[in-house]
Amino acid sequence: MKKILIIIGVVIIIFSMAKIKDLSPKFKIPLAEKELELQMGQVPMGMNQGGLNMYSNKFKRGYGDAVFGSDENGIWLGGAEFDDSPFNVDMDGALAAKSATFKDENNTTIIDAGGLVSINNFKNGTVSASSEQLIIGTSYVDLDSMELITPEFDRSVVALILFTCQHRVVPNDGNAYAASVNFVLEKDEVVIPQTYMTKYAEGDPAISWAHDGQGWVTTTCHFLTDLSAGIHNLKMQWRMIQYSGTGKGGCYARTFSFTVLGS
Amino acid sequence: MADIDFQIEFEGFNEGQSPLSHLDDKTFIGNKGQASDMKADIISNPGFLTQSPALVDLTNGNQDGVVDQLIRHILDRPTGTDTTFAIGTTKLFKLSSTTVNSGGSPSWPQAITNAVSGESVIRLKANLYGFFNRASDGEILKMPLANEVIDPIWGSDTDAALENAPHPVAIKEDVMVFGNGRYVGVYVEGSASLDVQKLDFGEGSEIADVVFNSNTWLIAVNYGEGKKGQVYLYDGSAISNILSDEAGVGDQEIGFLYVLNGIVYIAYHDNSSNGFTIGWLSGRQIKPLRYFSGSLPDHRQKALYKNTILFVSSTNIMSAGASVEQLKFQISTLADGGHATIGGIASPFGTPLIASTDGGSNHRLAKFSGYSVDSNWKSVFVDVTQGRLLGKIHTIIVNTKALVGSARCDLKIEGNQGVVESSEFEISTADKTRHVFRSIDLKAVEDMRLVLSYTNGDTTNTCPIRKVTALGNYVER
Repeated sequence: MKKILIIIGVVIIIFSMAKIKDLSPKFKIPLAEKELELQMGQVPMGMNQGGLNMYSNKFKRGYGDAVFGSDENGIWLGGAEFDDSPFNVDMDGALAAKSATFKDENNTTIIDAGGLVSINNFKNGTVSASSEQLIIGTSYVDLDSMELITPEFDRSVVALILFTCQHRVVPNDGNAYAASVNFVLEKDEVVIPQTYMTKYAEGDPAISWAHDGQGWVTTTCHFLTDLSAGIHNLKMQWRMIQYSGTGKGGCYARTFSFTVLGS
Repeated sequence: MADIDFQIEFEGFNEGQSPLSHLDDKTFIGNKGQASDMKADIISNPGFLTQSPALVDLTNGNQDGVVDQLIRHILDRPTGTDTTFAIGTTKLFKLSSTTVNSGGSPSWPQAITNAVSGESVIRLKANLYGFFNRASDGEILKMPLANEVIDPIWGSDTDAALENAPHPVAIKEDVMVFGNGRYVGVYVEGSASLDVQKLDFGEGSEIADVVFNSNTWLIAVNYGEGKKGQVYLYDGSAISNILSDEAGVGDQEIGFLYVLNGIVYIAYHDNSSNGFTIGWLSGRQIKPLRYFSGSLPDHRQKALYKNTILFVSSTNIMSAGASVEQLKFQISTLADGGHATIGGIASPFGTPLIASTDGGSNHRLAKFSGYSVDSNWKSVFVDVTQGRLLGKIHTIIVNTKALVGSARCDLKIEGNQGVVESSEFEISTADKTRHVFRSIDLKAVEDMRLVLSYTNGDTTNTCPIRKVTALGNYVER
């Protein structure tokens, strides 16, 4: 009887141990939100962020022709592509711009697409005189009131020198034969040889050597000269180089100026 | 100790078709909610299996009405209240959610001069543009929505005739980009400039589809008679003559592109399996998602339905996607497409419209309505052997929603790869939610699958199935 009970007990235990096997098909599938996610580190084709479009060979910011872009050609503005843009700089640094405006610290336009608009900020100086100055002889003398002190330059510059002068031969005894004068620029007490300029008081001396010239002649000249960093003293000098008798040279209205063009 | 009883559960029907169902309709690979073969609705109420939607012709929507030809493309958005347009082989149609317009002034449908094959139709601002092929070239028509008078040679007059080719088209603001054989054409309404050859992809290429996404045009191009597919990015303003980026599908033909929630989906031909793939543009890679058999849908055969992409494959309408993204991405055969050859499909009013023809005199433009009895679901096969023991199914339990009226579905079990099968058991009875079938008359088998059929179902009330449990035990062979 005891054995039977034990056997029944084992059968019950075995029976209760039998579990139902699950044969349901299984296949792991990610959720759509996971499956449609870019992998970590994966770069989307044609990334867009705000107005910025990034492609494998270029990036653009903007739309239509209002684009700032960069590609293998260089950088550009104002065109859908580099070649069509009104402003671009290529990889060699060559700039092409349809227009430009340069302003000073006061917001005054100095240069625009039409050219120079204002010279207010150009370093310059001008002196003028109108009292008559007479000269006799062939030694250089300063032209009265034709001296300029430049501002201090912080680097070497090139200056444009402009000079105009009314002059004539003044008969001293009513029988003068003075013919011509020299003008020259002196910089910091040194004559600049390249600025020699011979001007005849009136006409060609070969033709009118014996001339009682009293008519005013206007001489205009310009030079480019290098000015090193610092302050410079510029002045105009003159002399007679051909004359006879007791004639004198006469100098009347005159203007002397410089304008710094750049370095 | 060896198990003697087993159970097999089938549930989670929102998972669609098995990953290998396109290769083998008796596959063993898949999940408990996946089908080896199916035509049913698993997207309307995810988790439940319901009958496929039926097709009902729109008023005037067949050869007895005004649809006397295959409608090849349907505009996928309304142009006004309950109004949109479609293009057939030779005619332009105007339609609502219920009716294909007939008569009026101008009289609908309108014949398109010299048209032999409508390709696409789109609304840009105040005008409708239609792309169609003539005998030896192509053309763009323009029709102001205000007076509905067609200018059938607008494209030629404005720039030039088109190639005789597919003409997918997409718009963004006032820019229209379209395929033109090897070329991409661009029309910018703001500047009234049309260039039918804006981009040239070269000899042997053909634009398969064009879409706009994230400030960029995406252009799908097939090369060499569909032997290679490529997706290009093109600047959103469509001013440039230079492409921005590209991703290659490989040696495979692209059918269509579709943008949904910022994701670009691609349907393409999978040469390795002679089947087809829905993938997505993941970085510079086209990442396959799901596979299907049948045919490759083109740019005219895609639509949005229940948050999934609806598309054509052979004679069927398929769905790909997840109704909500917390579910799994599925692909499933949703419904029959009507006649043997399906034209355009679209959902301009929410409910899909499907055009088809039998190739003869029968044509239709129909929409989903009610339930179809041409609907079934077959699970993947399940091995029920254990060593030398075979499986004997003795009980089936089916959980449904509370059934209404004549709702019905029939159930049977196939065994040994379909060589043997049980009798059919009727799942019906109003208000019933649990259906238990005992004494299943299927002999002990090596494998089994569940077959659900709505052939005897109702067209008004469906039988939504949530779960099926098969109980069995191992027996000596």
